[in-house]
Amino acid sequence: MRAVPAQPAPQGTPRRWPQARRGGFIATLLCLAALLVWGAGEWAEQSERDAQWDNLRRLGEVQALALRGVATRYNYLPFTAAQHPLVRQLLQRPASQAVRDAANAYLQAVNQHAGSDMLYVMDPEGLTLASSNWDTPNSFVHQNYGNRPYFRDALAGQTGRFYGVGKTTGEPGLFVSAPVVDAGRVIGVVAVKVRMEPISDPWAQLRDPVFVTDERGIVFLGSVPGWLYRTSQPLPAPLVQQLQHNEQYGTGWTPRAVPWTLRPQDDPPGAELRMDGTGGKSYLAFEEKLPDLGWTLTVTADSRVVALARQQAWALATLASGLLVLGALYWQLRERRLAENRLARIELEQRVQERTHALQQAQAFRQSMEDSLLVGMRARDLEGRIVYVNAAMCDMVGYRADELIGQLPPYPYWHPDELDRHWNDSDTVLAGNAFPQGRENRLRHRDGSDVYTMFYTTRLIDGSGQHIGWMSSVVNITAQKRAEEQQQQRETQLQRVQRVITVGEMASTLAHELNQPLAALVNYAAAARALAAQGKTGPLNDSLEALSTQALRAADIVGRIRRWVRQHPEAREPCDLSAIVEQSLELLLRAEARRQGIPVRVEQAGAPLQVNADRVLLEQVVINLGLNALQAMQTHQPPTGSHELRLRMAADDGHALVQVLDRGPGLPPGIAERLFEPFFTTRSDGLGLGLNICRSIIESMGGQLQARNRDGGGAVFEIRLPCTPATANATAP
Amino acid sequence: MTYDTAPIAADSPDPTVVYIVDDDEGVRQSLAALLIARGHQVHTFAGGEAFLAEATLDQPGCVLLDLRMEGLSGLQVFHELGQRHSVLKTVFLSAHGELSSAVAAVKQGAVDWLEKPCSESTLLAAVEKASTLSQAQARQVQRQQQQRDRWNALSPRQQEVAQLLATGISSKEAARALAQRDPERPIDPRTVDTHRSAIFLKLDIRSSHELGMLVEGLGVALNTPRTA
Repeated sequence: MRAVPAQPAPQGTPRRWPQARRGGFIATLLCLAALLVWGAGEWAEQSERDAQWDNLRRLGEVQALALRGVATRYNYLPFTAAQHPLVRQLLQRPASQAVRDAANAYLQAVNQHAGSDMLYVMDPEGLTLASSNWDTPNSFVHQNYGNRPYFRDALAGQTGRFYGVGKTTGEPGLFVSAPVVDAGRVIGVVAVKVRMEPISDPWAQLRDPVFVTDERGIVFLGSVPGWLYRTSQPLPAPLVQQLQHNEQYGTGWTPRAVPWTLRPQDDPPGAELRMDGTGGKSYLAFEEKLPDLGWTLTVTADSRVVALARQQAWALATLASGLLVLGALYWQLRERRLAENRLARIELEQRVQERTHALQQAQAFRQSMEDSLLVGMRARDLEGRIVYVNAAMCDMVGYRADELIGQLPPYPYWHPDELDRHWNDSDTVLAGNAFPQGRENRLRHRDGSDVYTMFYTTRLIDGSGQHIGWMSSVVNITAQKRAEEQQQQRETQLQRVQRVITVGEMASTLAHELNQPLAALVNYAAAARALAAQGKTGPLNDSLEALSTQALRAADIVGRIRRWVRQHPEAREPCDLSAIVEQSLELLLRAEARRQGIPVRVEQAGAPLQVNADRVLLEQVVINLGLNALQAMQTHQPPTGSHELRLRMAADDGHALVQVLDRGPGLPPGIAERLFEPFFTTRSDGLGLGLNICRSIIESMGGQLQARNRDGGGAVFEIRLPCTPATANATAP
Repeated sequence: MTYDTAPIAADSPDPTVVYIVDDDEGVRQSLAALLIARGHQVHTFAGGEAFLAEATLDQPGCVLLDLRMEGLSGLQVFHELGQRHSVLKTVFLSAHGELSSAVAAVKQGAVDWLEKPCSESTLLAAVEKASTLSQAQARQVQRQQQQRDRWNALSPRQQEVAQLLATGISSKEAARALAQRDPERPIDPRTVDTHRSAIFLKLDIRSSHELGMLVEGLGVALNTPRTA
């Protein structure tokens, strides 16, 4: 089998061979084969039959010609003999022996010469007067044939013709007769008998029967002896009597039917001859009419030849169709295999397509993943040549991918200040010692800016497990680095601030220190309660004693604070009030306000104000009040929505005022008086010492610290300090 | 005066040890007095170093730990406990202004924090909670140790098979994997089945799922090989 030709695969659904359709195909094929066999048989039969018919027709014509020739060959002989004077003399003088002898001799000579069987002369009574066989034992002389039709026909002045069995000889023959006319009167009859054996004997050599029937359908000549003188059609009774009378077919003849029937057929003109009895043979029969003689010649051919031809054709056609069916089945099988191959190819193509699609999807997915990465990716081969960079990496250093790929160290983004370090790192990695924890690197962006990065490098393994290079992920930590730096700066500043805010710090330390004895107090009290309930007086006493000790310790701490505040060495000096406020803002307040998103407004007095004060302590008080104000506003949403920390300075009656105004919740009634008491606090985590200390500080400077509610919501804390004489003079006229 | 003694009264049916670590003697002794009165067994320490050196770290118990101390800070002591896989549970004691540190400590696994001074009920509740958790963890550790002992009782081949089966694959697949790993020692799936029965019996488990949890818990689960 040759290779399947590579055709373009048809689109659409591939052809299949359903079982039903395959069955139908085979059934159709078998029907066609049967039709072919039948048709071939029919055709062969028809063809053979036509050939047989042609043969029969030719045979019939030939035989008819021969028959007619024999039957008419001696037509002239009786007529000619009748003209002979010797015959006339004989008839005129039948008694004369000499004439008889002469006539006998004449007839004998003529008969012998012509080759006919008998030649004889009868008087009008039918009595034979002379005959060619006068000297044979079967001599016709003196025989009377007056009852024979040929005699009567001749007597009537016509030529008689008659086939019959000889009365004298018992042998069949054709009798032809002619009248002897003398002076318009029939005076006798001359007849000749012709034997038909010369024509019928060769028929015996023929394979199939040949026979001749007379006008009444009686077989009188033929190749089958058994059929002779038998009737092929029913005879009416008068005719039978007549035949018995004239003894045409011998003495004692009775009608017997032939052992066959002849059925005429229209197309082609002919007949079928079928022997009687089951399984009888059948013949094709051709009838040639001889109307001048009143005879019918029938030639036959065995129809078995036709049947045989049909059977042969059947056999051949069956063989042919068998081959055809096999061929068709093979073709179908091959088609099916081709279809399956095609189907398999289409499936393969579909799979390839799906696979390709999946790969494209994966590729697209990978691409968008790489593009969306903020982490830079860089792959290098074993020599350090860059083989891949992603978009994030390019963004990070400001070079395009095509500018980086193929580069060997030193790379363009290496920071010029750290080349040694870069070389060192690169050599370390390429030698196989990647930094597992990552490596911080400062890079130089194309635009000249510094980029801080973290490199994480791992081995690059290809699909077959081969180590082919190094893959680095690069994280940009510049922002983080900056934030750290800023944080550091902020912390430094904060430390400076915290050093300054000793009041706040002190309060916190105080809280911690004071909390210890307070906690112990609470615990001992609880323990004492439990022990009292258990009735254990010994431990109870111990607990109560310890409780007293802790209470005294707490009181001691408070006393220490007060002493610290009082004993603080005074360093009073003339200073500018607005400078102090400004310094407070710079130290902490402005930053804190910005953190909370609250604007700060400073209102200067009309003229510079000078006070005699400890600059650092005064700053701390302002900061403390400012922080309080910010905290108040942080927890409170003002109705106007306008948060603002306001620091106002003013001169009033020889005093300088610093007011800290907020829009917080204000001071509830009954709170304002207690605000500056030690350990009074409105906050859950407050200790209640800040304002108390603040007031102590201000009072130590000869001033006052007061608080009141502000018009329109919020609180006002006011520091009132006496002005130094210089400003007092200026402001107070 | 010291209260570092056995409990005065055994009110609590299951007294748990309470370690008090605070550099302030007043606080330390007062807490001891209260807890002893409430039936706890108490040990007091003035500093983290002494506590770490003397305390029984693998028995359940509660630690009341002051945040701000001389020497090791409370957070350092707490981290050290974690490093040593102690089952002790910590409640921090903080003074004013140490809120953020205390919150951070709780986020790192401390049971609670108490701001000094605190009420008795708050203190006792925190101690109770820490003790319960510590006992639970001690049981957990014990159970894990038991599982580890059982695991170590397996033969090396059984451990190999168990690790494979723990990933949830069938005996046939396990046999194939083993044959792939070591082609010179092919193994029949029925042999794997036999191993499986022995493994289940020795580890006292009933399903591959339990096996997976156990292997995971012991930290011997197979990692899918990864190229980094």
